[in-house]
Amino acid sequence: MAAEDLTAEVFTRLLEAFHRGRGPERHLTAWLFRTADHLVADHHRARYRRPEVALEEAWAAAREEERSDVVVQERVREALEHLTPDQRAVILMRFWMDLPLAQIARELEKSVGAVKLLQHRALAALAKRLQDLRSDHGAA
Amino acid sequence: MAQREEELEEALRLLREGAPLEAVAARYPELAPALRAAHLLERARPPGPSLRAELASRAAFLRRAEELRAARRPWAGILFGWLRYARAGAVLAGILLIAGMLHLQAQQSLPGDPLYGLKRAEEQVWLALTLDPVERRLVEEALAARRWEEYRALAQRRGSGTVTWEGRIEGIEGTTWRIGGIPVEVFPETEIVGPVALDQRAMVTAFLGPEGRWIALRIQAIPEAPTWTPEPTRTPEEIQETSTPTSTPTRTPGPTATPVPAPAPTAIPSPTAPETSTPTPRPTKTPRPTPTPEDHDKGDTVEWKGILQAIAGSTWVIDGRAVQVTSDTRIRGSPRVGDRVEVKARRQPDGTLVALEIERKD
Repeated sequence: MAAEDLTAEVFTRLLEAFHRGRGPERHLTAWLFRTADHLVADHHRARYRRPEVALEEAWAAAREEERSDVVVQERVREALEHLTPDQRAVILMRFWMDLPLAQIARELEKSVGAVKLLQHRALAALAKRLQDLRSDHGAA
Repeated sequence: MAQREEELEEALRLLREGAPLEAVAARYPELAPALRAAHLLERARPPGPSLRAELASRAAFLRRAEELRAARRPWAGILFGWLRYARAGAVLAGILLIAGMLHLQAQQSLPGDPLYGLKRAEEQVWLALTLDPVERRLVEEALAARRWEEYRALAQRRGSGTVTWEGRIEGIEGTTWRIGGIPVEVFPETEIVGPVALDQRAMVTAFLGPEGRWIALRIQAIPEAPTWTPEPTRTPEEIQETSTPTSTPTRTPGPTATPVPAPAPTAIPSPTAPETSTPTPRPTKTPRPTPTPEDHDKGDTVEWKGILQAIAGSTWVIDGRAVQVTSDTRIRGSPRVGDRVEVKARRQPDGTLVALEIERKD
């Protein structure tokens, strides 16, 4: 799976960065997020140039609930791409990594208040983007 | 805005604790879209990596680590490793360069200069680090010589020149001699001509150092052998003035020493009235002041005109005479060193002059 390969690649890059003496001296999580961000963007650009054919059979075999989850995940992923890097980092750390606000603030070198503001704006932007997607494709 | 963010935080907490989305959204209707987005984020949370992926990732990680370790070039670390400290090194070099420049500038500074404090601090450190008694004495001598050079340079910078007077050596306390009633600092570099001793008459050439101290350049003993010279014509006032025990009549054309046996302790070498025979500091660059209509002595009050040669604290040197400036002194025209001024002063019992009025005369 591409996500798992990309995750492994992130840590390999961390290893190489340390080997070159350019590894993060602090804010390791933020460094990993930025690297992952770049890798994902590169991956999507490459996929855009070499489109893959969906596995129709696998899709047909999936249950309705699984299909719905896949649709939601795809929409959320697409909506996340429209956030700023800081907003995306806050959302991912908060909702998918369950990090407390204080730790997120430390990683991003921002105040807790700034992180709350980023979170608020990111959720508002996500809501608007998901609403637009829903309008384009019909309710999930 | 901050309140809205706090409400959002509270709503998210409720969702995490299992409260129904619609209930929380109903409680915070303005945040409903954001809460639904947050709910979708929870639904879209990606699953953790599979065990196979974790193992493959770990294997790839270790493999890459092994490759990097094998490709490590120890010599590169030796040759280029210092480059990582290049920035810190540059900063350090800059600091050392600035410190060196400051040190050099401080070494050339004189009392009153901005860096003079640094110079003295360095000397204190130097002295404190010199523990050997013999070496410490050498350092102290070197520092004393340095002070001497500073005073000379300072006198030249201020343009105060030197003054010369005659008087008896009334006291010697350490480096401070009292000659003709005037305390003067004597340095090892001071040129001393002839045998000098207490009660010996001497001619002093000195300049005004910092803090108003007189720094002796030369002290020449004057033989006591009477060399009678014709007494100049005196006015009754002058005769009255010289009736006090004095050493050298500065107004007389020739004599540097009078045959008058002057009782030293009362000799008042006041740098004051030109009519008196008291030792009077006078500039060596200019001839001894001659009586002019501008120069009057009215009893205890003395008036004269001359160039303001130096200002050292409350001591002003005007035409070779030191005069004390007090808060009662009326100063007119904002005189500066080099200006021609007119002085009215009152002589104190100890012979010193206290300025009553100083007026700039252009």
